[in-house]
Amino acid sequence: MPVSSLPIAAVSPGNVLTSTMWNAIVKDNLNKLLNQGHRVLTVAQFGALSSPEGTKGTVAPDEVYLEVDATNGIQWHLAYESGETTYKWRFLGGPPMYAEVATNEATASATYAALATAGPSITTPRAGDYIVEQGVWMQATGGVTNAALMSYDIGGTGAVDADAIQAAMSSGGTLANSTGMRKRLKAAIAASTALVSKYKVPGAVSTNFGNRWMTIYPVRIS
Amino acid sequence: MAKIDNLRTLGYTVGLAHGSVEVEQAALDDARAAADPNLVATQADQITTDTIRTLDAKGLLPENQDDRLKLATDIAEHALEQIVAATSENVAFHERALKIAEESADVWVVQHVVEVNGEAQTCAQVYLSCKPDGTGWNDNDQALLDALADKTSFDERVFQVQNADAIAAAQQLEASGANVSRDPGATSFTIDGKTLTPAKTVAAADALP
Repeated sequence: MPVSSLPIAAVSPGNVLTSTMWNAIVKDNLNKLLNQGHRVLTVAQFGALSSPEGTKGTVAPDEVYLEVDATNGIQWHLAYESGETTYKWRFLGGPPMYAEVATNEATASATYAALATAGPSITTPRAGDYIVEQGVWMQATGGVTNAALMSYDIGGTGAVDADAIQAAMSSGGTLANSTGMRKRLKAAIAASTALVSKYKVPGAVSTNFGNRWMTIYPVRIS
Repeated sequence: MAKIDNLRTLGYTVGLAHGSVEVEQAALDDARAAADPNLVATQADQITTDTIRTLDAKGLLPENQDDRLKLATDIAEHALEQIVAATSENVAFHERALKIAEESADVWVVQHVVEVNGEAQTCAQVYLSCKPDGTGWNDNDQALLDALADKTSFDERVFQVQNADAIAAAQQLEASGANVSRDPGATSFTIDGKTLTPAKTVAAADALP
């Protein structure tokens, strides 16, 4: 907790320690001692912040770095904005969380299903509005025309076409390839929600999916 | 039901994205150590000394010796009060964080890295949320964990990364009209009824007119 923004220490009349001395000198020394600059918080620590409402800059800092992936060193820079209704921490910057499966695997499922290597998948660290982006390479075989879709489950809610990358491929007797990517703003995703890519081929014709990836980064979170 | 350790045994690199109780416990231990009364008293003394020196350098110290003593006492008293408040709040903060971590599943980042010609290539990286014993946060996470633990699927990813040229050759042969197939996890191709190794598949594609 930065001491620099704590209320001015009470100074009784007649004291030789004046408010000016306290503000100009003592608090600086306290801050140096406590070494409280910007803060890198774990997800649990972020959740443990006291509400900054009404005490902006004291109980909780105005800006934090939220470590969402300690293994890959992914931190999100967030700023508190009391004017936001629900998700009061706005995203200022940082790399997205990223997942991928390069392996080429097939399905002929006419409804959304996982491939042999499920995913890619990402778990949201906090509740909020997120930009979700995914991409894929698809390949149709066998002289048929077919559509292929890649979408994603959002927790217990199954994948829908509205979120999907879709390609119609006419192979004309040989192989037909297509690549696609799509970015969407998904509002109000709960904390610890798994986003898991799913695939379908409405014509039930076996289709390969490879180099599939997903990224997410927040717009604002709570 | 697969567990996180099953993935490590199979050859994945498994790291923690966030959610570790151990990390929060360590942070709480540090916060409690920083709130030790002896350490806090020492810090308050240090603040007092530093501040008196600063005031002296600026020519702001009172002339009167009694006032100087009172000033030092006041600074020490207020510094102690502020440090105690800050360290106590810090302990409470980390206690709350530990409780949150205890009530949350861990989020793991699972990477399948394959070495090809001395170069590490990532063929899969996914996040999943579960306890180390494999208790899934939801059905999707559990399904993901079970799928990652499947040996055939694991071997297929290794094959594809290590035999990218043969797969491209097989597709070239298929595009030219050959009947090409290969089961997931298999180490050879079936081309027009013949079983070919990856090297022979590449050679067959090279021989196309």
